[in-house]
Amino acid sequence: MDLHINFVTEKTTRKMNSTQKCDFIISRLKTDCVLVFEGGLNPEEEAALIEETMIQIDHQEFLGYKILNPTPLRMSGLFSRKNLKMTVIAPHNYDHLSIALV
Amino acid sequence: MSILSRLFARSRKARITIGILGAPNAGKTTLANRISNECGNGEPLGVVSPVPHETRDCKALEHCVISDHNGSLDLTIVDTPGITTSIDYREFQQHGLSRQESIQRAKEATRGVIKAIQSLDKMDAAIVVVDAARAPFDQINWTVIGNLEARKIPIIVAANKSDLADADPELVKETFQSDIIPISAKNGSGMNELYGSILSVSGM
Ligand SMILES: Nc1nc2c(ncn2[C@@H]2O[C@H](COP(=O)(O)OP(=O)(O)OP(=O)(O)O)[C@@H](O)[C@H]2O)c(=O)[nH]1
Ligand SMILES: [Mg+2]
Repeated sequence: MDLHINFVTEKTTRKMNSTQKCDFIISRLKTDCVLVFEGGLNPEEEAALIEETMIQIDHQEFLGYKILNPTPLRMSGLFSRKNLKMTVIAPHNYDHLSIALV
Repeated sequence: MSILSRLFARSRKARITIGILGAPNAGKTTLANRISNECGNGEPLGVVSPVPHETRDCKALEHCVISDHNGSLDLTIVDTPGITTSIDYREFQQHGLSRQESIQRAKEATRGVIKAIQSLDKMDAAIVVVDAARAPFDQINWTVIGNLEARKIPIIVAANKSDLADADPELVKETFQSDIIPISAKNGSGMNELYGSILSVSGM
């Protein structure tokens, strides 16, 4: 399987409202693309994305996504998710892809 | 807090709705049933199962009363479906369900997730149940905690399944950078601390 990664800059997402962001993400997930968001998604956007994803899951091709945020091998305040301004989203079957902060 | 303001806080919010939220299989229904058993009328809120997405609708139980020396609090506890970003019906087949049953369960599960997300707006406080024996912990907990924080809803993080050898409540604490209560919804350890924490986040 070919791996496609899209880096999505803040410049690209700044102009989008929440619905547009969800459509943008889900349409790319459906083409097996991994998305890395500069600046990350905020919790409300993540909740909106979950709702839209649940509506669009068709129990055949599209089964949702996984958040693959880089995790440091050892947690510390400095590297906590709160300070990490990046969100990595992958199609649901990309569990094996691991991203680490080193 | 002065006695007067405590009394005021109590009379103002002596009844609260508390949501039990988290990822599938974290032990939310086990916890809800235990609270009901220890503080309510004993009526179970729902079925507990090792198969994820057992709970697919929100279920509330009123009049679970907890108290300390300051007085008592009348809780409405709401058990919610596990929140997730993906639902693969084939996972249910691995638990022995037929293909048809699995797809039906998956369809109900997607609707359940939406109900759980929408329930966030109706809570006065929330217990986020994390399976402390499954590191790395589900990323969804961040989404849940972030959304509760954005709504200024007080949060208690319960590090559940602390009876298991693999459980690491300290790592739950470090990961989510919040005070946590190690509990076992299954055998009841940590429940007094949890009730104390519910009373304290409710301003009691
Ligand atoms: N060892 C142990 N197992 C637990 C504990 N709490 C729950 N479990 C087990 O975890 C599994 C899931 O429990 P549930 O209470 O159904 O979990 P849930 O969060 O309600 O799951 P969904 O409704 O599917 O979202 C069951 O097999 C429970 O017996 C605990 O404190 N310790
Ligand atoms: Mg349940």
